[in-house]
Amino acid sequence: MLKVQDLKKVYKNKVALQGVSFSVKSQSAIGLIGDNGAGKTTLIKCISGLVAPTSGSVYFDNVNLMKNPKYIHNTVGVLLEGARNLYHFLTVDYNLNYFGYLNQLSSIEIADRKAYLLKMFDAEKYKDQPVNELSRGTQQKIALMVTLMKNPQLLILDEPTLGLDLVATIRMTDLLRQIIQEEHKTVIIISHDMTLISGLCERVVYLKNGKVDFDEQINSIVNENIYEVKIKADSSLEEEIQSFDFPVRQEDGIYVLEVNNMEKMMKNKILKDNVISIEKQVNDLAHFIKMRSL
Amino acid sequence: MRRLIKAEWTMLIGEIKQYYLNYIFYNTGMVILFFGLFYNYYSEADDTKVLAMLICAILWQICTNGLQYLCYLIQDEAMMGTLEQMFLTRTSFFSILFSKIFVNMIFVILKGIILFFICAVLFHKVSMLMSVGLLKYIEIVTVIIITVFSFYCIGGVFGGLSLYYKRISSILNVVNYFLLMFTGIIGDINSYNVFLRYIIRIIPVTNANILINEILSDHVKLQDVLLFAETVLIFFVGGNVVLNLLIKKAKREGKLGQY
Repeated sequence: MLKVQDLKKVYKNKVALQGVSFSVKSQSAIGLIGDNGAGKTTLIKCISGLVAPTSGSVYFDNVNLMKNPKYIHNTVGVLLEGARNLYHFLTVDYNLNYFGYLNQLSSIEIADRKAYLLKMFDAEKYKDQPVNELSRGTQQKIALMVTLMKNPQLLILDEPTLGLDLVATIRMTDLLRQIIQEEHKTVIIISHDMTLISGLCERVVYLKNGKVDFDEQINSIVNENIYEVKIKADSSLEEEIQSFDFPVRQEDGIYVLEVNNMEKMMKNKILKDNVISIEKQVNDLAHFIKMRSL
Repeated sequence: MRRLIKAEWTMLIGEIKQYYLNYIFYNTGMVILFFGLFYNYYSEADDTKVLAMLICAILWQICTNGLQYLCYLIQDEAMMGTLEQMFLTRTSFFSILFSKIFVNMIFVILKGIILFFICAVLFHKVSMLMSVGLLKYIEIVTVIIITVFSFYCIGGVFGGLSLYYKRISSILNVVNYFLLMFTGIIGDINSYNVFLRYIIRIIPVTNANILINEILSDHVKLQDVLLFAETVLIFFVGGNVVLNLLIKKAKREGKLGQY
C-alpha cells in the first residue's frame, strides 16, 4: 500500500502542496487529476524522490520512501510527461538494453524482460529503429516499455496519452489495462483524459491549489443519479439554496443546481414551488469534475 | 560496474553513429589548431620542445573536454528529460556519472593518441618519437590520465551550475582559453607576473605540463610531483562535493526536470 501523509512542498515564492494525504491499495489504480498548476507533477516527483518535500512522508509497503531512496529506485517506475525517458537518437533495442543495465539487470534478465515487453506491446518490428523515426504513439509505448524494464511495483504515469490520436489512445488504454491486470502493479495515473481514468482506475483523487479537494470511488460517482434543477433566481431563495450542499451556478436570471438527492430537495416546499425544470444528467467523471470544480 | 561500462560504451557508439560528421570536424579543428601552434611558435624549436608542446596541447584538449563533459552531459540529459530517469534507476547517479566519465575518458585519450601520431607525421617529427624511451611514455600517460580525471571531476562544478543557469558554455570558454594561454602550453610560465604564476599553479594541468617537460628533459623535481598530487586531489574532492551539494539544492528547488 502507498500512503502519502501530509505532504507539503514550498518553493521560494510558491506553495505547491499544502498537506496532501491519500493512500492507494496495493495492486490497484488511482487517477490523480486537477487543473494545470494544481500540484500533480510536484506530488509525483515528491513520491519518486525527484523533488525533496518540505515536510510530510510517503510510505510504500510500510517503508518510508523519504528515508530509503534506494527502495524508491528498486520499486518505483515513473513515466514522465512526453516520453522523456528515451534517448531519441538510439534504437528501441539500445534504449531497452541501456536502461536494463542501469537497473542492474543481468544480460539474461534483460533479454527475457525485453522479449516479454516487445511481445506484449507488439513492438518487435520497431526494435532496430531509432526512436526519433517512430510515430508519437509508438514512442510513448516504447517509453512505457523502458519504465517497465525494471518491473516496478509502483508505476506512476504522467499523462500517458498526451498528444496521442484516438486510435493510439485506445491502444495505450488497453495496454495499461493489460499491465495492471497481468503484472499486478499499484498504479497512479495523472491525466486530463477522463475516459482513460474512468476506464482504468478505481478511485480518483482531485487536487486543487495543492490540496486534495476530493477523493472518491469512480463507481459511486458514475452510478450516482444527478439532476439539473433550474429555479427562478430570487434573493429570498438564496438562503434556502445555500442550506443544501448542492453545486449551484447562476445563468440568465435562474439558479442551476446539480442535485444528487431529489427527495431531500423536494422536501423543501419553498424550493419545490419555484422549480422551472428538472433534467436527468449523463453522469460521467468529466461532468462530475466539471461540477465540482466550478 | 562492468555492465554499466558496457551500457555507456553502447551509448557512446550510438552517439558517434548518429553525430559522426560533428565528430570528424571537431577533430579536424584540433589538427588545424595544433598545426597552427607548431608553425607559429615551434617550427624552429628542438625536438624535445616540440614533443612537449604537442603532448601539452593534446593534454589541454583532453582536459577541456573533461571540464566540459559533465556540464554538457547534464544540459543534454536535462533537455531530453533523461536526467530525471537517471535518478530513478537502481544505479546511483554518481556511479552512472563515473561510468560515463570512464568510457568518455578512455575514448578521448585514444583519440588524443591518434591525434598525436597524425600531428607527428604532419610535422615531420616521427623520428623524435623514437628518441623517447618507453618508460617516459608510461610516466607521461600516467600524468595525463590523472590530470584528465581531475578535470572530469572539477567539471562537476560546471555540471551542477548548469542545473541552475542551464547554458553556461561561455563560462567554459573563458576557462578553456585561460588554460590554453596561461598553463605553459604556448608560453613560458616563468615569464608571467608573480600573481598569475601562483594562480596557475593551483591548476593540475599547469603542474602536469611542468612535470611532462621535466620527464622529457630528465629533471623531475619532487616538489612538483607533490604539488601536482595536491592539486589533483583538490580538484577531485572539490568537484564531487560541489556537484553533490548542487544536486541536493536542485532537488529542493525542483530544478532537476527544468530546462
